[in-house]
Amino acid sequence: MDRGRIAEWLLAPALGAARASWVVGDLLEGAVGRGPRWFWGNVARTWCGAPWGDLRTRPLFCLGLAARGALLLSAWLFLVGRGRALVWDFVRTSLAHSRFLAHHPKEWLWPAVTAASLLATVHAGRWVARRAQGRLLAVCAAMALVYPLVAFGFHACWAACASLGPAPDLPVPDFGRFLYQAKDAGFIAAFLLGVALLRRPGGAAAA
Amino acid sequence: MADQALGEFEQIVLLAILRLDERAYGATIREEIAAKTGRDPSPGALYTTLARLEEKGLLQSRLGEPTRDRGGRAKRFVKVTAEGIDAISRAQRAYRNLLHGVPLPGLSHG
Repeated sequence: MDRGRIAEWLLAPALGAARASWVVGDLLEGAVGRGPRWFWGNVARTWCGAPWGDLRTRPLFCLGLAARGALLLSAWLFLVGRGRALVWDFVRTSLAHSRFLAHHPKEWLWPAVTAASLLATVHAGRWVARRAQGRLLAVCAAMALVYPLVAFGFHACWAACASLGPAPDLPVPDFGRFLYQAKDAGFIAAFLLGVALLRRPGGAAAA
Repeated sequence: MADQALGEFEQIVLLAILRLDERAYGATIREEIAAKTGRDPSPGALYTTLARLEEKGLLQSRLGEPTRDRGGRAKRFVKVTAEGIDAISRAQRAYRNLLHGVPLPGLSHG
């Protein structure tokens, strides 16, 4: 595979497929007589510089889309958590005779919950990627900033609502939980990037 | 787009495009800026600025023919619109007004 196609594939999330094509053309032209080091150095500079430029010039677009994506992801993960609680309640009450199911909930629930969480993350990632208008890297960076706040707010709202009812079963949000969500955000941003990069080099790009 | 405020780099890009006229596309703009200002703009910053100027209606672009030395990829030529010329003229007039009467070495004042 030639370097132009690899560079185009790398730059598509930062610039969008169409822009990446003519930017790589410019870099290939500029690399004549300068060598591969110049070419790859400039690919790296473009990859790093474009999201920063988009964040500076279109902050509302990037942060707004990141906030909506974070809300969607929080809602999905919330539903996964609720589903897990419902299944576990059902097993405890209806299938108590089964020793394995009743006494080893983690072993059999964990794969299903992990798979559901990953599917939810992929869905949110693709939802964001389809709307990023060639600014996916900038939106991913914004998502890393925004997701902890949105997830924290989401849990805070749920805890406030649950405390009005009979038995709140989520812990009250605290700063420790906030930091935990912040830790997750790096993984999520990387995952969104992975979703965007899961394309054939040179092929039609979603972003 | 009655009153477009331009940043310093936007003005540099617009002036480089005006200098290059029909030959203005990413690679030549970058070379022109490097040759005339001594600074090598990052490609990411340049292409983001070009996109922003086009969104503001100060530039318009067209695709050229694909060429072999670009791996079969087309050039995207850009041209300053009448609004762009208006905006850069206003910005430069403001600079000139500010400069007038300021004794800076290497600059002559009218």
